[in-house]
Amino acid sequence: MTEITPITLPKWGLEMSEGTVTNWHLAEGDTAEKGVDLVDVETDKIVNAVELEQGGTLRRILVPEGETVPVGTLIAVMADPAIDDAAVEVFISDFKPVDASFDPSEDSAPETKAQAAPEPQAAPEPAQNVKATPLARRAAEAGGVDLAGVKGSGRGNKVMKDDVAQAAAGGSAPSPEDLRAENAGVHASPIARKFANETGIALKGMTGTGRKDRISLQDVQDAAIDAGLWSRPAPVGRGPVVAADGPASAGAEQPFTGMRKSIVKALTASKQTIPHFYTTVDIEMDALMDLRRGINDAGDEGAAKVSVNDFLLKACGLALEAHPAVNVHVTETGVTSFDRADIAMAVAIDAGLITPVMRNVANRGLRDIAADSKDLATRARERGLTADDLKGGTFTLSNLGMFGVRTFDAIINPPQAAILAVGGPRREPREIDGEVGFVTVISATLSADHRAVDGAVAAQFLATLRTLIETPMKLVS
Amino acid sequence: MQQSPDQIRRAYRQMRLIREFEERLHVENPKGEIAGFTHLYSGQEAIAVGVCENLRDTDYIISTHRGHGHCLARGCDPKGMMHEIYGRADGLGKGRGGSMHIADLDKGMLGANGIVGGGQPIAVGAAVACKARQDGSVSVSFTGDGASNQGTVFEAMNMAVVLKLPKVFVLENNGYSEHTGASYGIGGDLKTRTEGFGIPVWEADGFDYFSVYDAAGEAIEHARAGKGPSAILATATRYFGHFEGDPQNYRAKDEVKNFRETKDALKRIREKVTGAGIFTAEDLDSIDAEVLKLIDDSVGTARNGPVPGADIMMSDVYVDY
Amino acid sequence: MAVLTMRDALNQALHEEMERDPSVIVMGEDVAGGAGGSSGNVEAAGGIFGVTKGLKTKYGADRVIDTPISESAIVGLANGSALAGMRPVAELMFADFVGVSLDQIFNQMAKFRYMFGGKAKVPVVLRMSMGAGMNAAAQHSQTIYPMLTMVPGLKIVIPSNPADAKGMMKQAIRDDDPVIFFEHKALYSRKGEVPDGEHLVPFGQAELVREGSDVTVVALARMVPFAIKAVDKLAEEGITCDLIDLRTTSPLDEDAVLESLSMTGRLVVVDESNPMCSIASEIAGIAASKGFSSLRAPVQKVTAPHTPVPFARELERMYVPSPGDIEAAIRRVMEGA
Repeated sequence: MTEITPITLPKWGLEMSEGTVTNWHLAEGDTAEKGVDLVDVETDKIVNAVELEQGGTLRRILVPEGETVPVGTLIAVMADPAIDDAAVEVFISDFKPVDASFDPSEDSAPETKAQAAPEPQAAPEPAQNVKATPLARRAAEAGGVDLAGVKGSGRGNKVMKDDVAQAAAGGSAPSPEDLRAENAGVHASPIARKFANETGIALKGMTGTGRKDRISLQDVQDAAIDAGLWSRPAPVGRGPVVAADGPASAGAEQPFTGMRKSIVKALTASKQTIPHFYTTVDIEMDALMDLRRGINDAGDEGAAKVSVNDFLLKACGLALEAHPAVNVHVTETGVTSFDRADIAMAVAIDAGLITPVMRNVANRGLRDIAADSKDLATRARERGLTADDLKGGTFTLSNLGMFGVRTFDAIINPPQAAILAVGGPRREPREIDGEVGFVTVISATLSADHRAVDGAVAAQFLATLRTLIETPMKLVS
Repeated sequence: MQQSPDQIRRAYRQMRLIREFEERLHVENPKGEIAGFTHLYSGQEAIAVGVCENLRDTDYIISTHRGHGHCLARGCDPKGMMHEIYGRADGLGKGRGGSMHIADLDKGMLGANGIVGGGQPIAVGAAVACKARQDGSVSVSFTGDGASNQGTVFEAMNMAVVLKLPKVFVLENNGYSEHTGASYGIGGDLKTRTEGFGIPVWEADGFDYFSVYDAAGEAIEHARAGKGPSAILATATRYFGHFEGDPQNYRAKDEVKNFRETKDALKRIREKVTGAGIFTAEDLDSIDAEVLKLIDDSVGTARNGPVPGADIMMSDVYVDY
Repeated sequence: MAVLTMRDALNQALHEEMERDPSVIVMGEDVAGGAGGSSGNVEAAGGIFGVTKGLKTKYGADRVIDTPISESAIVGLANGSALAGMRPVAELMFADFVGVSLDQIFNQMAKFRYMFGGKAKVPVVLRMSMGAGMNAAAQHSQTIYPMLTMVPGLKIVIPSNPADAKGMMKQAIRDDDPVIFFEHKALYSRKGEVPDGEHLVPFGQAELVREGSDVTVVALARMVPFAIKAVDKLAEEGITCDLIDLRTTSPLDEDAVLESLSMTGRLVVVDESNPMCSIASEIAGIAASKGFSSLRAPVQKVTAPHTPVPFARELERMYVPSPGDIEAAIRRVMEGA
């Protein structure tokens, strides 16, 4: 034998895609003739021996007994003793096993990738947020009852003293797990059961009106409406039906999509938990406009045009580096600062809002920023952003100037500490050298998290930003 | 019947080709590159070749799931077959059929068949065409002992008799219907059954090329002459399992070994032709070497053959849709 | 609870039912195997997929009947013995072989009870393996359950996991109507927890495999584990789905589909069979006729293409609907496309 012979996990029959090596009959270094049993391989159907197709020396055993590997895996190598170990090792590392798996290809996998922002972890409802009467609160404290788990029978589902007493006595509201287990045994459609588990309805004893007396979703929904736990959404409309007079007819409620849901959750949490404060500054734009025109006129035909927003991104980047106290992440426990500004830019798309992040903005050229922002916006609209594009912004710039907005207050994108909301340009009269002239002005409003950023810091940041924009040569140097 | 040395050389080569094709597949199959079912014909070479050596270009054959031998004996391109078995775009079926569905209509080979007993009624249909053309051509179906218990085979036999068609039934008894012995599955015997339809049966030793050739010659001549269908009953064995990977728990340990040592069709033909002084052992060895090289080449090109793409998957469902 | 393959779960169900009821008999090609063989081993196969192993040794040749290769007669055996009071479990090896025995199935067993004034009980279970994925090519890979689902009088059972396979096999044997029991080849080695002893899964009861609120995904057989992959992946992005395993296509739990649809408004149906007149078409049709007011986006069908099953590995991998195809379809309904 002058060559190296691979021994691979054999395919025995239609069904076999993997096998377990159970017993090596030969050891490394053994020499044997053709037809000798080399190794036993077990599938979930049979155990069989692999016979040598030709005689030779067993040089390497690559799969130990007890291990399960796919068909085609290199399990051993036969080679003449004259062949040196290095050559055998090279052979092993170069070996390309056959792919004999039964899995279909993922060729037709979607071109669009994940883009919904990751949902922030929902904090457990603290007991003090639950609506409860003072007596109920006191009873809960005394009895060690978690108010969050008590179903309220009062107005607006407010928890009453009796509710707490009932809960303490192991009363009417079983835990979700118990309810789930109890409901599992009842003759109900799977969707009815799911709905019952979600709304906290016990199925036991309910009369089923479905096929073969099965409890249907309708049955449970009716019970939930009766119990005041649920209301039926209006059916999806088929185009508007507007009466000539009388009240406007309500369109069907469109439930939130997955992406919308995460936006709703994140923004609600931000607005409710972060102590926002707002500082607005007016910035003259004429110098920047002139500079921009000059840059774009001088640019090559194919070069990306630099937009006002690109200047703003650059200016924010520099201002953030000058005021690192704004360029931070805030959590309940503390503040994390960053050594560079990665700015998230808010992009409106059909399904909602998305905030791809531009990296290291302060240290990049305007043309580079222009090309990158154009690419991010395009991919955002085509749903081509990757998870990496969305991760780790330290500050957000939101610009609604193109819609003619003068000024607005934005909600902070947690865990960032600040967001800048920029309105559109307007002409305003100013006193210039003792005369009245007109200048182009924008208003920029910084929303800041007061836990990390104080008013003076916000004001200083905006002052720097304003200087950078009004004397814009620093943005191109 | 007298055969010329050229004819015998060709027959020997065909048998060797089938043998080496199948033995090589038995070695290649466990490596995992070949997908799906592979049913090997080793051991029965004399039957396919003994029958097909009597056929003309205008004749038809139809085969079974164990079809490689019939295809090769009928002259299908070994390379095209090997590429098909490896699922290549340039295989005889463009990689869509695989081992069980090799066909070559240009050679009058109406296909291997994945359905046991599926081929015989089709072959009767081809015999209708042969009769209509009045060119003396015949249609031959190969039927294993297992398939001989399908209603379709009885219907085909009766139909061929009633319509007095040039149809030849080759009944190949290799001893096993999948994993069950033929002696268990067949009520009565295949010869009497077939004769019961009024079909004359020529019996042959399925390990002996000359025995099969002579029996098939007479049976086929009967059909060509317009005397109605005929049958050949030949008994042999298969050297491998029902399919590759079959552990063959139903067979005694030394059964195949004994057959290989005492009955082997290739050994038999070698002994006969060298004994009669028609060829020397060296003459035959050189044929063997040429065949081995052809198989080597076929496996080599098949392993690296072109992979079929979506266009191949989506085409030829209809001529026009 | 023991962890078993689907193969062993089915085997366990057959053992338990044969033990429980002496009228249960098993028949088919090589259900034992080896009869007439030279080794003398009269249980050399135990079914080519190993589902019937050990039965002949335990219950004997009168109750575990190896047959010649004669599919029409095999189904006939089941039909006749059922009319005469037995509970036969017949095997056709590959669902494709229904082609050889179709008369016995759709003209005979399916119609006895109706034609004979309601007197006949036909407690036949007809088992067969199905499905692509193992390169068994065009005549050994088909998923023909839509073809038989359209025949009134047949119950069509298609388990996706070992526990259901056991529970539905036991249910099928005890059912007084003919049951066609499809076993996906690529699932035989799928492992899962299987309840010990008595475990029955009633027919016409879909299972909710995953719970969600954005999309209803309906699947069966091997498409269920594939759909689980896709659904779990999307859940990480905040797109959540109700994943319904139909388990039987006749009776069909259309209420489960419609109820889920009423909550999600979006429907994806995954079916390994060809697209025309498929289960996917049927479910889409039900959504259009009975769930129209719930639909917020066109129903997406994920099926094999309208071709025979191709042989080559690369082709079959394209042919079989993949988790990626399912994921893409879910994204499409989310976008309302």
